[in-house]
Amino acid sequence: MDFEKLFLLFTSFQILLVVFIQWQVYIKKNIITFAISSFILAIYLFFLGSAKGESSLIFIAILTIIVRTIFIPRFMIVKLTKEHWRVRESAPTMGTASGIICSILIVILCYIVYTFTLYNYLKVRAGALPLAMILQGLFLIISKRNTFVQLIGYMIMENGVLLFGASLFPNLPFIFEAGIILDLLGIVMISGIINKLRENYVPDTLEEIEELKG
Amino acid sequence: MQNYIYYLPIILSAIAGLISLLKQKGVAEFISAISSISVLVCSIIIFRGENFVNSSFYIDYISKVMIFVIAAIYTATVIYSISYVKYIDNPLFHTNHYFAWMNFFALSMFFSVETNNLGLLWVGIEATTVTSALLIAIEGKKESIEATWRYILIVSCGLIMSLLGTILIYGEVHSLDISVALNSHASGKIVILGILLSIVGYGTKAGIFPMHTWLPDVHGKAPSPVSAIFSGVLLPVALFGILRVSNICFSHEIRMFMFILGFLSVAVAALLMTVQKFYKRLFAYSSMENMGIALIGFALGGKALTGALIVIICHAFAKSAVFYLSGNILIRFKDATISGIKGLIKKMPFTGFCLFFAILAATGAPPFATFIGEILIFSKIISIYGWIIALILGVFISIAFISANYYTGRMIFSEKEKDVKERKSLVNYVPLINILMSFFIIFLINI
Amino acid sequence: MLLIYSILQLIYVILLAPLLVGILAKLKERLESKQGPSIFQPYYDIFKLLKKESLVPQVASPLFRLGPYINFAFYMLLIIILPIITGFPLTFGPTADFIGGGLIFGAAGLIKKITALDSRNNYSHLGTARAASVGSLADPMVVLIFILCGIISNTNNPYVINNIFQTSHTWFTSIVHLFIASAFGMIIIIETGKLPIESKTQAEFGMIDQAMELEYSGPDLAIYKWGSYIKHFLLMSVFLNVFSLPFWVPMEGASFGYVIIYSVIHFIKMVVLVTIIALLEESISKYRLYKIFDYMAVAFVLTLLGVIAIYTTKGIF
Repeated sequence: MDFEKLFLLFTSFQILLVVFIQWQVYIKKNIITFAISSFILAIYLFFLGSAKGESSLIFIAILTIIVRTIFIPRFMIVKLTKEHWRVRESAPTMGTASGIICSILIVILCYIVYTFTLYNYLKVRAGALPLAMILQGLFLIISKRNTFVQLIGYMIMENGVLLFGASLFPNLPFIFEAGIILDLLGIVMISGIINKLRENYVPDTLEEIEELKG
Repeated sequence: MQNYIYYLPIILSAIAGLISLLKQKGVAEFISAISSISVLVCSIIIFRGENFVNSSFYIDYISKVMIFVIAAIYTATVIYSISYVKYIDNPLFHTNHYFAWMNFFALSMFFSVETNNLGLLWVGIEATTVTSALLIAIEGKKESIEATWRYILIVSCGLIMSLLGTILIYGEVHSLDISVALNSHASGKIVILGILLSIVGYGTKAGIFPMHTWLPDVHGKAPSPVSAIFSGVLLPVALFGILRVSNICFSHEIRMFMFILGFLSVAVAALLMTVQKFYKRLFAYSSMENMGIALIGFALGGKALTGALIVIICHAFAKSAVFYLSGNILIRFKDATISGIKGLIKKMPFTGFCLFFAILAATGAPPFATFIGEILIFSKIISIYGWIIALILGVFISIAFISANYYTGRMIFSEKEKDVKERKSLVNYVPLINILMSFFIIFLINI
Repeated sequence: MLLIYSILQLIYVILLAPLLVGILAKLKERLESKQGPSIFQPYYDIFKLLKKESLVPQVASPLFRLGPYINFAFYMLLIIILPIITGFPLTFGPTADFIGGGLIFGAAGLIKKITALDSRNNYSHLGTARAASVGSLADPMVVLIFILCGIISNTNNPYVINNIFQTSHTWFTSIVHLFIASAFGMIIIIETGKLPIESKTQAEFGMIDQAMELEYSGPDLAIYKWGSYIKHFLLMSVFLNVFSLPFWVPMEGASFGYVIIYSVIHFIKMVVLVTIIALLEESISKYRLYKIFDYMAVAFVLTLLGVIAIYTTKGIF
């Protein structure tokens, strides 16, 4: 089986899902799309682990499914308001179409920079795409104001780092990924509390809070 | 016997944190105070001991200094908080949770400075984010919540960059142990890229330009003991992370990068300090400037490294004192703006007097140790980069010094407005010219 | 021999295009548990209109009456250029390559827009403005897709592209192909005016293409309608023959009998595609007008991902 082709296929699909999250306005759909993206990541890690014989990768895949596909999305949907099919992003920083175009331009820019620099050391052409996923997650945080979408952007960044590390450096110690999962849990818990309060004061209007300027 | 002493700070903080979750009155405060004092004693014993490396711990001179500083500020903050938390109106959660989070926060910091594994260092610093987040939000107001969310998001995104950097370092060194990495003499491009990314990541946590944007918001809105422990210990622990990672391959590009970032932090902080309206943000920018100076010291190495450590220790004590005193002011005056506080020396004489000396110490006036540290760093800059760069840095530090002390002095010593009795005359420009000459004369002497 | 094939292809498309649209209309109604019109209804409409007289507004220029015929002529040119029932170029094949085909589509649309503006009707102006904004973003995407096909096959000949996708297993299952096929599928929905882009109602908010024909009547309207049915047929044929199901297309050296058999198979493929489109149309509702641009941005993203994928797989930079 050609690993590079498989890698390209899975990573392109992940990038497409991130663009889809950039497109969506309803929060619940964003959370479900993120759960699907994590599930596909877990399947890819499972195949990679069983093909290369690394048991740590298989364990990480199972852990990813438990934490990022089942637990965290359920936690977030519960923390949305009672009519959770209705909550949506109400004050984005830039329009949807511009956001989608910016997102894909970031991917292209990242690919160009990678081909000129890191490709000479890592020898994998498609290694630019997880890095592009990290930048796309960062752009998602910038372009949306809702707490949960920003949190999803952060988790997409972590997914990107995991994809990059697991595919290009397969002997990574397991302690890393365990640390990532634990901190993810901590951050999501705290964010649940913060969001409950932030939504009462959500900065819908574009004025900035006076005391936080300068 | 020798090994167990290194476990003690971690275990004691963990036990204190767990016991603080009990709801009885006074239990949390009591157990936190006991644990912090015993950790302080342990840290003094560790400091006088010798360097120690095994598979889980890597304790060298810098770690010992950091453990001591963390323990000292932890003790001071806990003792001050026992009285301060009574004055928070509408706290978001019960005060024993506050002490529990404070203990876990100290636990994560001890864990980060003692560990021998780059991955666990990252985990520890990420854990400090998680445990300190709710401490900022305790006041429950709109601005506090917004500041907390900005802190969590910006710092977590920065730490992901650092994670990427650690993965790249692992790719070349093939081991995550700090002791192995420091002896490996790695020098490829991938390691340098990994170190640069880690510097950016940990620099977000340390308040280095241009990743400093969360710093003034958090320090302005958090309760005073929390601001004190942030400025005093959290920022230096992040700088400690930068130091550990950059020592793996201390090449010229990395030194230059750290120097430029430190320099720009000092410059930006100094310039922003001149236009502040809220005193806690003013002190926050002063912390950012001191961290920039410490980063410059780390970049240059040798005597400057000693100078940076001196700056860190003295700044920790001085800045925490400043924040405790400003906490007193906030409780009594209920006003966070600089122009709203006047005549402290008459209304709160003890606080005003101590604040005067504390801000002098924090911004680097002699005879306080911060000044000695800055002198050491300056001498190293002059020997490597020459006079001009050192003088420009000196100008920025002076701008910071003057702004901080001017605003604080105005808070302490001002009285009611009086009539302006000055006459305009050309002769008044002569003193101005003499002052400027006392600066520019250095170019004529030009050793 | 090639000339006979060309004439055959011309008659095939001109005669069967309205039937396809009739089948789509009947399927949509059947899916809603209604009886629906007969599948030959478009023929009845065209014949009825041919018998009526044409009314022309007073302010219109001579272009108004010529427009439908020029439009139809462009489509007839396209029929004998594009691969529909054969996989080898016919007599007039070398007239225009793939990109030229895309541009001729644009030219035909342009004539329709100009004549719509000519009539000074408010609704026609509305439809032209909308069609122009959507078209100005969709047509470059079509050209980009065709350029990508050119990079894959190192030519700009649609027949060669068909042969490559038909014979080469690696190219058909490659990621590049997946991306550009999805992008072209999304663009077909834009260009042929199906839901969620446009709904065929009499109300103003759904009209994009419909609004441009509002001022026409009689034989002119019949030719316009026929032209738009042929446009549907051609776009769907290109999608099937080049991108998604390029199988069984007779290549160089096939016999006359095989070409005839393939004509039948082609119509069956088109009916399958029409069924899928009918299911799609019955499941979703129309987008707000400004969301169409987000939809096009996603199609553009798919195309750009195809560009990255081709540089990654072909290893060129």
